[in-house]
Amino acid sequence: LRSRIINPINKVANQVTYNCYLAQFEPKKVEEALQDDSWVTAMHDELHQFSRNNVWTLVSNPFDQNIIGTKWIFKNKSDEHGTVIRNKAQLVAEGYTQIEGIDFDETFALVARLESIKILLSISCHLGFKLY
Amino acid sequence: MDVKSAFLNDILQEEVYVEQPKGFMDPHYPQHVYKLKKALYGLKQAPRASYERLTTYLLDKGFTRGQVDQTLFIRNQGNHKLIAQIYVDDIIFGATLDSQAHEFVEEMKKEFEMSMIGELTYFLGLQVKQTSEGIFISQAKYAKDLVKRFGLDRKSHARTPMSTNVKMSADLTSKQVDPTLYKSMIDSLLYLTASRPDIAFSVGVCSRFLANPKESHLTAVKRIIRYVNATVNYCICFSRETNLVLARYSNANWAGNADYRKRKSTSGGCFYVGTVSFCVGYILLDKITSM
Repeated sequence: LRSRIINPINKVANQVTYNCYLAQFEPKKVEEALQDDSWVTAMHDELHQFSRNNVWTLVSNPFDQNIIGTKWIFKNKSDEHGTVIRNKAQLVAEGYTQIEGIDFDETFALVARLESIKILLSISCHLGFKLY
Repeated sequence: MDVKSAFLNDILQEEVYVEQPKGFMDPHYPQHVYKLKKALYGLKQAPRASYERLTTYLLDKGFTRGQVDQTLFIRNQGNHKLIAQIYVDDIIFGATLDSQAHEFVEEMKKEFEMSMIGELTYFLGLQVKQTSEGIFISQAKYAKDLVKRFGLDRKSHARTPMSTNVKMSADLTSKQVDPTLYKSMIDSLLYLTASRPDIAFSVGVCSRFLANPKESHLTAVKRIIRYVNATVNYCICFSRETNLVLARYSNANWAGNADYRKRKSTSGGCFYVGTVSFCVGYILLDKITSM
């Protein structure tokens, strides 16, 4: 009896999803994502961005090099009402397979200290300018 | 102002190869791999590459880098100054001549894909409000959520963060409390000290017992949270009527620490620029030299 009540709602929900071409779920594995058109589109978008930014080139495997694995991350972006507005697929490198000295040397990046931001606020107050 | 897809723009120094993305293998060359020209999210060197590119660009454009804080960039144009502070992909900036600030945005947009979010209102979890009287920073929302998270929002308020006559000690004989809960409380409160120097000392004292928290310590931490509950809307005000005089205040007590045989002394200090303290710190001293 229960499924009979839920079924029509599911149908409507499916239709709504279909209508705006957005998936409502977040796949854990790429195989799941490949089953769904909207996630495939999202993955294509990400790869298009790579070619637009000239991120990489396909080369034959240099067998003496460490090849770093890649992984797809799937996230739904929602607006303030909790409605899904974007399926975001992101390709990330599995940085933990990198070997120091071979794949990377320096990783240190500077991060601003809160104190210096507070001093900046003080200075902007004193000199009377606006911060953006 | 944010740099969009910051990492995808950063040129890599090293030779890095990655697998072809799963599901999108090249059917003709399945054995091939991609050689990266630019950084990907997840790479160890990604944040560094991003910082490098941004700094190189800014130095080219006539900025000078801060001697002490290397994420601060200043450009002098005539009698006017443009100051930019970088936080990974976020840039806070301002200029004594407002039009220069707008020019800077246009300049940046030519080189990077930027998203301009307008006047600074939110940064690193700090709510920022700029008015004609001054700049206010607060973590009101964070404070409110914090009190709620630990279930103390309906408990009575405390008027001070810590009692003046209770001496905290290791308290080895009483019952231990859940260290994970204690740690997460201290952790949340430590972040709150960014805009609340009034709790910095009490949180600091309580954090000395992280390794072995007892009931008396948990009570003290809960009191701090109940104090925060009473004062969620407190904020730091940077008044427009200020100067840039740097001042330091310090104080110390003599063997105030109650632990048997240790009796360490505590020294504390805070630094002010004009009317606002920007740094507060306390330490337990191992030795003290009498004057």
